[in-house]
Amino acid sequence: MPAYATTPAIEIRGLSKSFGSVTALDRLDLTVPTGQVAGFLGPNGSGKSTTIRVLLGLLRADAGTVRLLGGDPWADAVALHRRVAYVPGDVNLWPNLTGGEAIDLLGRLRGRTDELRKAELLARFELDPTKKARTYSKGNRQKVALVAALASDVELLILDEPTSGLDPLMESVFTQCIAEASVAGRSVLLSSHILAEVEKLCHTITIIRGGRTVETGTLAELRHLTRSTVTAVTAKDPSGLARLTGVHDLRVEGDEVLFDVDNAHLDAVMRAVAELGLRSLVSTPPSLEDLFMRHYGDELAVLNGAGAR
Amino acid sequence: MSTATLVRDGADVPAGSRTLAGTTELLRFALRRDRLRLAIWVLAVGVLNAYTAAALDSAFPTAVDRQARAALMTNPSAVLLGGPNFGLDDYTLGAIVANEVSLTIMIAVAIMSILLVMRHTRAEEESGRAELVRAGVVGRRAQLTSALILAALANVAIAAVVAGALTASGLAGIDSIAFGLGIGLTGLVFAAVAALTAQISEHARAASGSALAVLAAAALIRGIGDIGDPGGSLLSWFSPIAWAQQIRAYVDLRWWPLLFSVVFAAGVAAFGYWLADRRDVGAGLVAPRRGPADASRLLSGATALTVRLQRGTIIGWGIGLLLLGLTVGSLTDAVTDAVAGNPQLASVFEVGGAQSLTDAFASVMILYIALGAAAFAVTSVLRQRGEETEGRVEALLASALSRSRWLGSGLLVTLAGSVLLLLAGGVGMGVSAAAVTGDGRFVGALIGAALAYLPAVLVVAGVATALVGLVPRLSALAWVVLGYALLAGLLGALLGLPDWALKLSPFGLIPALPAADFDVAPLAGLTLLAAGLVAAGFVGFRQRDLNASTSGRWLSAWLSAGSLTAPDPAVSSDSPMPMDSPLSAPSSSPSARPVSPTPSVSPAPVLSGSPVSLSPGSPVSLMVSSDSPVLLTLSSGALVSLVVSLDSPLSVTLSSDSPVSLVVSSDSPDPGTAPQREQPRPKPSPRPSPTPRPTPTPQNSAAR
Repeated sequence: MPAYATTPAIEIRGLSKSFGSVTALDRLDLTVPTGQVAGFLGPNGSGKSTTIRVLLGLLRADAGTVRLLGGDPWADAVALHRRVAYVPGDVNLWPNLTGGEAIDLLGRLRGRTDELRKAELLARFELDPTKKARTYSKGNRQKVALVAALASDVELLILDEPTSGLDPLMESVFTQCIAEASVAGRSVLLSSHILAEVEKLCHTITIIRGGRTVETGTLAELRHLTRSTVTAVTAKDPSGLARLTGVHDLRVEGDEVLFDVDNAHLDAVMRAVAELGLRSLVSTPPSLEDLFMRHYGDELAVLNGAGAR
Repeated sequence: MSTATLVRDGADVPAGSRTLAGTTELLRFALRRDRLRLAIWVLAVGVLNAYTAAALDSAFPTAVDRQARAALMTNPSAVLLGGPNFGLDDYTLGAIVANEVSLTIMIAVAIMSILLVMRHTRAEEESGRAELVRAGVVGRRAQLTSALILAALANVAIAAVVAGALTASGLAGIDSIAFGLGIGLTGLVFAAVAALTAQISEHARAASGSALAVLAAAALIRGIGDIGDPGGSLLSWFSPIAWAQQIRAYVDLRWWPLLFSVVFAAGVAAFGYWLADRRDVGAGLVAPRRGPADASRLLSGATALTVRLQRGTIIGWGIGLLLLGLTVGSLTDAVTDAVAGNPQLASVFEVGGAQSLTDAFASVMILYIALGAAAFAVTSVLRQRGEETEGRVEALLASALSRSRWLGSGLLVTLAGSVLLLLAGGVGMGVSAAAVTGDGRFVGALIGAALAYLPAVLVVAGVATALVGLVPRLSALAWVVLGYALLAGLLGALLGLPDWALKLSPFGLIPALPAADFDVAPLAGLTLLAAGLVAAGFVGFRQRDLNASTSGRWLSAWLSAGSLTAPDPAVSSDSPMPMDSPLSAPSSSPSARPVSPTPSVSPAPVLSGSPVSLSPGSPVSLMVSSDSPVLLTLSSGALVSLVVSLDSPLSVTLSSDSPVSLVVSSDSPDPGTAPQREQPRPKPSPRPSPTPRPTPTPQNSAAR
C-alpha cells in the first residue's frame, strides 16, 4: 500500500520563515489529509503564498518541519513535483509562446499530459490555445495555468488564489473541476479569498494571520467556536433568557425574540427556549465570512477607525 | 457635451497642450525613479572623459610622441575605431581627444539615451504600468515627451560635464563646449531613434535592439566612409556619428554640422510622435498573429524552452556579427594599401612583432567580435535571472525540473550561442578577407582566432552565473566585467594602461591571434576559472530562495505583522495573534488552540425523506418527531441550522440565495469521534458535487 494513503498530503509544523528582519511565517501549522480539499485563508500578506512557495521548495524554511506527500519539499523537490501541480495566483507566461504551447511545455516538464483531458479542459474553460500569451487577459492567463495543472495526473493540487480574474461562469467550472478532482481522490490545497468557494469545496479550513495558524478544523467545527443568531417566537415572555449563560444581545421585537448564543451553550439555551412554548425558531450559524471577519474584525476596526479620523 | 464645457475647455487649455497634460509630473517622477541611474551615467562618462584627457597628456607628452601616434592613425582599424583624422599634421592633445575618444563616448551616450527612452516608454507599456498612468490626467503624448525631455536633460548634463572636464584639463574652452555639445546632440539623435523604434515593436527588448542596430550601422557607415578619405567621404555624412566629429573640434572648429544632428533628431522624433498618435496603447504596428494550439515535439524540456526564448536574440546577434565580420574582412585589402603608402606605419608594426599588418588588423577586429559574443553571453545569463524575477520560473520549478537542470539548460544555450556567434564573426571575416586578398589561409586562421576567445567569453558568462547564484540582486554587475574588457581592449593601448591592467580583462590574456603565437595555457586557465565560477553559481542557486519580487511581499508581510494592529489597546499588541475576540467561546485561549466541542452529526437521520430541497426565500414547514434534540444542517453554504425538541411544525427561512437541501440528524453527543486538532475529520454532510463523494480509501488511491 502506498505510503501516502496514511500520510497527510501536506504536513507543516512550526514553520518559520523570515526575509531579513521581516518575519513572514511564525511557527505556522497546516495539515492537508490525503484525499481532502483544504481551504487556506488569511488576509493579504498573512503568509499564504510564502507557505506555498516553501511547500514547492522555492523558498527554504528557517525552522519547522514541512512534509509534502511524505517527502522533504526542499531536498526531494524534483521527485515530489512529478506528483504535484501548482497554479499561482498571478500567472506569468512567456509572451511569445501560445497558451497551448505553454500548457504542453508545463505538462511535459511534469512528465505526463493527458491530451484528451487537455482538450476537454480547453473546451470547458473556453480557452483559445492559439493566442500568444501576451494577448491574454489576466483571466485567460489564469485559465492556462489551471488547464495545465488539471490536465496532469497528479496526487496533489496546490492552488494559490486560482480563480482571481475568472468570471463567475468560469469560477463555477473551476468549482466543478475541483469537486471532480476530489472525487478522483486527489488532495487539494486551496488558498482563496472567495469564501463561498471555500465553503462549497473544502473539507477542512485553516485560517492564518501574521504568519501563524489561528484556526483549523472543519467548517462545522469552526462554527462551534462561535455564536449562532437565533430568532424565535414563544408563547411565554422570553426576556428571562437574557440571564442564561452564553446568551448575548437579547432584544424583543413585537412577538419575536432575537439573541446571539455561544454555540457551546446552544443545547442548554434551546431547552430553555423550548420550555417557553416555542412557535417558530430560526437559528443561523455563522457563515465562513462571519468567522473570517471575527478573526480579522479587530484589524478592520482599526483600519476603519484610522479612516474615520 | 454642453456648449459651456466646450467653451471652457477651449478657453482654459490650448488644444495642443491637452495631449501633454501631466508631462511635468511624469518627468519629475522619472527623475526620482532614475536619480541614481542618471547620476552614475553622467559621472561615469564624465570621469572617463577627464581621465582619458589626463592619461593621453602623460602618454604623449611631446609633439614627437604625438606625431608618432598620428602616423598610426591612417591604419583602417584605427579609423574604424576612431575618427576622420582631422589635424594629423599637428596632432595636439585636443586633436587626439576629438579623433580617438569621441566615438567611444558617443556610443556610450547613445546607448544610455536608447535605454533611457525605452525604459520610460515601451517598457512601461509592455509591463502594463502605462495603462495605470494614462488612466490619470495624462495626455496622449505626455509619456513620450517626458521620456525625451529626460534623455535631453541627461545629455545636457553629460555635455556640460565633458566640456567642463576638457576645459579643466587645459584645452580650448570654446572647442570643448562644441565637443560636449556634439556628444550631447548625438545622444539626443539616438533618443529620437529610440522614440521611433518604441512605436514599432510591442516589446521593449526588440525596440531597443532595433535602435542599437541603427547605432551599430551608424558607427560602421562612418568608419567605412572615413577609411581611405582623411576628413571623411560623402558616405560618412550619412551617419549621425560623423556629424559630431565633423565639427573639427580643436583643429578648425565649425558649428554647422551640428545642425544635421538637430534637424535629424527633430525629424525622427516627429515621426515617432506621428506613429504614436496612430496606435493603441500597448500595441505595435504589426498585429499579433495566432500561433499553434499545441507545442511542437521539439518544445519539450527546459533546454528547448530556453532555445525558444533566446533564438531570436542569437539569430539577431549572429547576423550582426556576420555582417561586421564580412565588412571588416573586406577592409583587409585597404590595410595592405595603407602599408604600401606609409613605410613608417609598417615599421611600427614590425617593431611590434607582428608578422604582418593585416594580421594585426585582423586580431584587433576579432577581439571586437569576441566582445560582441561576450555581450550576448551576459544578456543570455541575465535573461535566466529575468525569468526568475518576472515570476515565470516558479511554474517551471514547481514541475519535475530541478534547479540545476534549469540553470544548466540556460548555460548550455549560452555556451552554444557564444560558439555560434564567434563562428559567425570568424567565418564572415575570414571569408571576406580571403576573397579580397585571394589568400585562403585567412578562413581557417580567423575562425580559429575567434574561437580562441571562447574561454574569455565563458569567464564573463561564469561571472554572471556566479552573481545570479550567490548575489542575485547584483547580477547586473556582470556588465562591469564586460565594460572593463571593452575599455581595456578599446582604449587600453591608447591610454597606456600597464600590462597587468590589460591582463585583468580575460580578453587580455587570450593570445591575439593571428598576430600573436598560440599558447594553450591561458585558454586552459580561463576555462578552469570559468568552470569554477559556474560551479559557485550552481551551488549558490541551489541553496538560496527563489526571490521573485520579494520586496512587495516583505512590505505586506511587515504591514500585517503588527504595525496596523498596534494602535488598539484592546488588541493585545504584544501577541501577534489576537485570535480570541471577546465574542468567541470562553473555553479557548490564545495559547491553546480551541479544541472543537462535540461533533454535530451521528448517522441517525430521524426525518424520513431527507434531504429536503429548499428554494430561496420560501419558508418550508417541517414536522419533526423525535425524543432527542435534532440538528438540521443545510448542505451547501450551511447557513441555517435548527435545534429543536418538540412535536410542532417548524418554519425555516433560507438566507442563502441558492437552492440547497436540508439534512436532519440526531444531535446526541458522541465523544468518541471528537476531532483532533491536526487531523480534522472529513466534513460528513453531503455536498452539491455532481457525484457523491466517496471517503478516500487506500483502494481508490491505489487505483490510480
